[in-house]
Amino acid sequence: MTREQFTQFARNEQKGLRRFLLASFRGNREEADDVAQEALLKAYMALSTFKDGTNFSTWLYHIAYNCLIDHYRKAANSVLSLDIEQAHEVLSDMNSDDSFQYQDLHCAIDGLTTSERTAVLLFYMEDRSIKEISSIMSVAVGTVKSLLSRGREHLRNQLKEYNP
Amino acid sequence: MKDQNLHDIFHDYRPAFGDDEKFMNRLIEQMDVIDRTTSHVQLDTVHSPYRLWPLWMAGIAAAIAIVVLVVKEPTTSYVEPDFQSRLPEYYITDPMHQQFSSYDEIVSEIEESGRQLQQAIARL
Repeated sequence: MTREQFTQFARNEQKGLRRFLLASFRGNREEADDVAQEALLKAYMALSTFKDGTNFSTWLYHIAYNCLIDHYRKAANSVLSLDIEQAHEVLSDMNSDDSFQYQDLHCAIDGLTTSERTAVLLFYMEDRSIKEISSIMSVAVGTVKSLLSRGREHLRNQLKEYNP
Repeated sequence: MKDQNLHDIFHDYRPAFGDDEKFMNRLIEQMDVIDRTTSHVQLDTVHSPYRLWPLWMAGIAAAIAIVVLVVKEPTTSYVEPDFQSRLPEYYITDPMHQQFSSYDEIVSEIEESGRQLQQAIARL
């Protein structure tokens, strides 16, 4: 794949990728875009490992998912070492979505585990198939179905009266 | 809540980004940095003698083959030179010696002559 082809693929995929990451980070655009950039650059550097003919989008989302996991781990470690004042600042930044109508949705999504959240967002928001999600998350198809089932149950309970 | 409801909720949620070009420009700038950083490494490896080792091996093997086959004298079976070409000219033109076609015949003739001479001396 040439640089020009990669750039075109990135242009086509960036919207969906950023959307997925934005929902994963509860509306924090800066963080979502940083991880999206990181994922695309890692994909660019690993272009030699991409096999022509395979699904570029699935491959890219797989890299992005791994970046997301790394970011969560680092964020968890960094929050634990903050004092109270710094913790307040971090929490306020995390709610930077200017559209408060989606706060309930964000809270509902936030109640899911990382795996459940990823599966739910990829399935319901990005319309990915279960097989694609299985490749992206490197888990079995049965595992994806379980994650979706648990995620669906949790969201149904949380969003009973949801009306944006 | 039905599955379709969740689909609708998440599709309604889908945030719009108005800064696609800004995002892509930032990405392309970083790609340029990567290309500048890695191009030197790529040039070195392309011209590195270590990447061309198959060609080196083939060249060395060909050089050895040339030395063995061309420069060095073959040590295969000895081919006896042509009998006639090794004899002095008078020997070839002399009618008395034209009866011989090999060194063995000459040696046999000399040995026979020697035996006859010894017998003649013994009778004296």
